[in-house]
Amino acid sequence: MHNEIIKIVIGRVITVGLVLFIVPGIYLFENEIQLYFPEYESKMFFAAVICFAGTAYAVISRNLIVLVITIVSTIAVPFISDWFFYYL
Amino acid sequence: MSSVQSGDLSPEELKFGQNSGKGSSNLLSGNLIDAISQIQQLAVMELSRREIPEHFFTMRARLNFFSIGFGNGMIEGTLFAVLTALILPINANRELMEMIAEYFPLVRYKVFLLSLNLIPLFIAITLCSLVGKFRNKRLTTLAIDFLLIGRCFCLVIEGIIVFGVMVMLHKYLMTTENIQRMAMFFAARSDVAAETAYRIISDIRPKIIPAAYQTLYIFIAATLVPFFSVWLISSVRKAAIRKSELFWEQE
Repeated sequence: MHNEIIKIVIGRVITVGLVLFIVPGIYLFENEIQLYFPEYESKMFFAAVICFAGTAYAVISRNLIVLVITIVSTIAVPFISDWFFYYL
Repeated sequence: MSSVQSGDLSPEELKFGQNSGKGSSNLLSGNLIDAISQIQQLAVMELSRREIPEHFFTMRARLNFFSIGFGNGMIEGTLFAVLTALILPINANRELMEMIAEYFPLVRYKVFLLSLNLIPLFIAITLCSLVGKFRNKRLTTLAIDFLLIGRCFCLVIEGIIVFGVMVMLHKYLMTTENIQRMAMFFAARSDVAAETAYRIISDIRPKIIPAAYQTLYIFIAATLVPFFSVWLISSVRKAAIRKSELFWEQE
């Protein structure tokens, strides 16, 4: 029982740590990532993640509205990101 | 303690369609998430009670799981065919790609287009990782097998159809005469449109056969993933349990 709780706690700490590191890291270390992958752009990466997750969910749950929202948000994310950083 | 924890589930709580009384199963009805939820319920019930007769999982319930898998495979296959039809011209012609990239900047990335084509495979992997761990008792095994067989069955049929359609398209429809005829149709509107249409279709033509083979490979992979992940892992696990039982019997 004790071991199980320790395993769960360690697992959650690692997961939260990875999420907290990776999500800002994708934005903060954009230049460093571009050294290895010259075509990389953070906003495009996020748009692609939204596109894949939304399409997969729309197919699994057979929901056309989710698919349409996914496509619209995939198109909108780079433009919103540009607009946001331009006016910031 | 809830009825789920105690294992005393009433037929109303196990809604996997076996007592629906509808009399027929629609191929496109039902949802994969519902099916997975029902498999989870079934797994909980089987863990709580020691022995449940196999015929508790009726013919109607088996057919319902099969039809959910089949319907899901059909939707995935159709989406894949539509995506292939959209991606092929974008990959073939740089001019068209730049035109679309003004509104949808992600199409500039080849990796994105390839990954979009691989979506059926990603869904198969996600599905197998979701249901794989429940395939250890008799009824859950039956439910998962019927779901995956329905899906595989549909993907095989649809893969062959898409491959056939693409080969036919290359051989009979997209001949040089037909491309010229199509360009003439556009020429009635403007010369530039006719020239662009001719160039785009001419660029697509040589890439159809490689794309048809790629489609076939992706469908084969999407069909084989359940065999190699869920069924193979489950049989290896069962063999290990049997081996350990034999070892203790010898002792």
